[in-house]
Amino acid sequence: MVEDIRIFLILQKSKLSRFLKIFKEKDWPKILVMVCFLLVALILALTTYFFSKSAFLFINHYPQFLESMLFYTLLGWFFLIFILTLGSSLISALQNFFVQDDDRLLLSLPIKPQIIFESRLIDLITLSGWPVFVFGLPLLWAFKKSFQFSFCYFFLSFLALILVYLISVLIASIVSLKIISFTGQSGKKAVNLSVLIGLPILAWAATNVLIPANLVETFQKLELSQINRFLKLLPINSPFFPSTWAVNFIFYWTIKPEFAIDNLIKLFLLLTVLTGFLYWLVNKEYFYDLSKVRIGYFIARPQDKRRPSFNKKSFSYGLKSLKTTFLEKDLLIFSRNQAEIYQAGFIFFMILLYFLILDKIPLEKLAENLPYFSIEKLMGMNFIFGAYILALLGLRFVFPMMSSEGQAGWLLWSAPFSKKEIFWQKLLTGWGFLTLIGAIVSLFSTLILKLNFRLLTNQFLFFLPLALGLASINLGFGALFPDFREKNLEKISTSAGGILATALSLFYIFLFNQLLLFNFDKPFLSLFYLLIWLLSAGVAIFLSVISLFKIKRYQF
Amino acid sequence: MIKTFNLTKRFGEITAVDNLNLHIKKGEIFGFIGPNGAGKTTTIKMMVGILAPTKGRVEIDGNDLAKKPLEAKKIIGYIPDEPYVYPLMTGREFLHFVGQIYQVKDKEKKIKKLLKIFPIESMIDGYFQDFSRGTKQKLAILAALLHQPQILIIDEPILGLDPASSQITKDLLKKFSQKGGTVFISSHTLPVVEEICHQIGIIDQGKLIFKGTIGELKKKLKSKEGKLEELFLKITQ
Repeated sequence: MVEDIRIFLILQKSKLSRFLKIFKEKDWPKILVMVCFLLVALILALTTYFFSKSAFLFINHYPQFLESMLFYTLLGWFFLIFILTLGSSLISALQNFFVQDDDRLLLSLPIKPQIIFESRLIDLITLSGWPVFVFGLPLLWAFKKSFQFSFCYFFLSFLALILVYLISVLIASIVSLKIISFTGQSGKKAVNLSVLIGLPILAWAATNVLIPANLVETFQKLELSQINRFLKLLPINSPFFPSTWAVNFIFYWTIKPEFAIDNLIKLFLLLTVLTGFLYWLVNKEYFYDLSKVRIGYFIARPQDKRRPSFNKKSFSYGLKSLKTTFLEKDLLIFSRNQAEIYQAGFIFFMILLYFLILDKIPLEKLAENLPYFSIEKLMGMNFIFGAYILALLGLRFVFPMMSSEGQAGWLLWSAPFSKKEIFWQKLLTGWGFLTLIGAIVSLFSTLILKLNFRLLTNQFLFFLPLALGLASINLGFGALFPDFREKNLEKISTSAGGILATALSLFYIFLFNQLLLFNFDKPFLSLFYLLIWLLSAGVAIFLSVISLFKIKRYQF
Repeated sequence: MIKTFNLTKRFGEITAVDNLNLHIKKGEIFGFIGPNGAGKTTTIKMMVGILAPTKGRVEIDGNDLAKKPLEAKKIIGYIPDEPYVYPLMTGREFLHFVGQIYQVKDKEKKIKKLLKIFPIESMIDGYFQDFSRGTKQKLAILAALLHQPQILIIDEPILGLDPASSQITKDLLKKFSQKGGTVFISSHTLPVVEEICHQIGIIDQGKLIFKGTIGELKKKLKSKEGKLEELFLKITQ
């Protein structure tokens, strides 16, 4: 036991010293990335703090429903944090537990797999905790400041928040272990397909459960005194959510201490049960799963069957063009990468959730009641939302495209073909992929906002140059700042080059929207549309030229 | 067939390869040996065009690698010391992919024929990430032969291979040379170099300290007998 703890501490110490090395060696690109992340986190935290404080002070002016509004504000926030940490932990867990450079070394050393897992669990807790510090902590601090609560009360509230967070990490860890155990790193087609089909169904179900039918009418009919009764029916108040227990603890600590303690005990109990289950699972499966992913499929458990033999129709039979070959290869590898599929699925889940929520809100009735509200304004907002989604997808999936070729750099760069082919294929794929998402956003918003065909065409034709610009920025910066050693594509996206690409993408979207906001209704064969194309083509040509110059000089 | 002219590579203040001049004839198997960090892999990488020289040039069959890279690369088959590729690609898909990027006609037939060289048919539909070092090496060898190159440039040809596969590889290289192909091998396995190479080059700290046959090396070191290993230790110490 003492030896186990010693080994665990050594592993933690080595990670810490690797982290400190960045500062000792003055690794400026990495320091710049960290500073940028901290700045973004600080901005988000301050926004949350001031927003929450204003909301609490506003609620404070209405003593007749102060109690219920406070309770449900906290409930909503805690539920959001619970979902965010759950999603973030699940995505990180798939990479963190199974794709690390030191797997082989650690497994060959006299260290229990459980200790390797524990060390990675600590990483996961550290990495996925950002919603707690960006949203949770500022919210609780605003709560304390607005109602003058004691520091002890703040501390207990924070403890409840941490418990909710740890529960979400444990659930995500259990799910990721089971996913890998069932499918391996290279997921089975059926599982990947069911995730991609299952997530939209889940999004639809979640929207229907979370948002009551006829929302606006219900609110209009209710008296203020009845709102409390209505809110109690909201599903986020479910007695099965750890977020509800945490809010019950925080809210009733001064009013009904025994009820508050009861909820805290529930949190601890769930945490204990989940920890026990996770440890049972780790002891039973982790070594085999890690072997399956990293060391080799053939030495995994005896019941693991061999893969079916090569499907002659599936890949590269007959001679095809280089662009087709690379596209086919990219799609094939993407379809087999469990972590990539799940990340894509999660992003699409969020997009779909947004549209389903938009669909659930009776916009026409809102337009009748609110004088400053209009469908056209909502469409503009929707376009900006779409632009940010494309920027996010560009960063996550287009930016690492050139770096991912580094795995076979020796083969590709020693082969007799122009490396421009790889760049053009990636640019066309990236542009096509982002345009497809743009088309989906246009189609959904047309259906939901009941727009006419001309506005649908206009929206799509705006997404076309926008997608070109964003694909060029992300692919170009990915080519200018490649990382051929990193196998984890998610980490490539969050490098210094990724930060620069994001900054430029945001500036580009800002310029694009400045042109767009005042001209949304103009026909696409106008001078304004030409300007938009000039802007996008200019960005694409400039970045392509300097990227091709760099690609030609890649060294392996 | 392969010529280097004052080939130099510097990494910051370190000179990895220093004014290397080599001339390897058609049909020759050339062994390139040297201690760790001597500059062997750097030289090979410059010869296949994945590392740019700081100074000097490489000529492949009369084509300057910097000026006519496509013509030069068309006739080279390269096997690196670490033949890693996309982990989630199967062995067979890898061979087909290589066939595509080299635009090999009738690649299905050629792959079928190549797969008879090593007995790997039973595992070829597994993913690359699951393969042993030896299987990866065998696939890299087959991939290098797929487009029927005139030159093979190999960094550690038998690393990770079992004795039977090592023998197959050595026979393969000898046959390749007999048919007029040129082979450039860099290796630490000196008995293999001794067995199959017509000429050797010894590099130490980036400088070529010897080039010629093993007999000439013996003469230079005034050693009547002894294996290459002993001669190598003598010249590099």
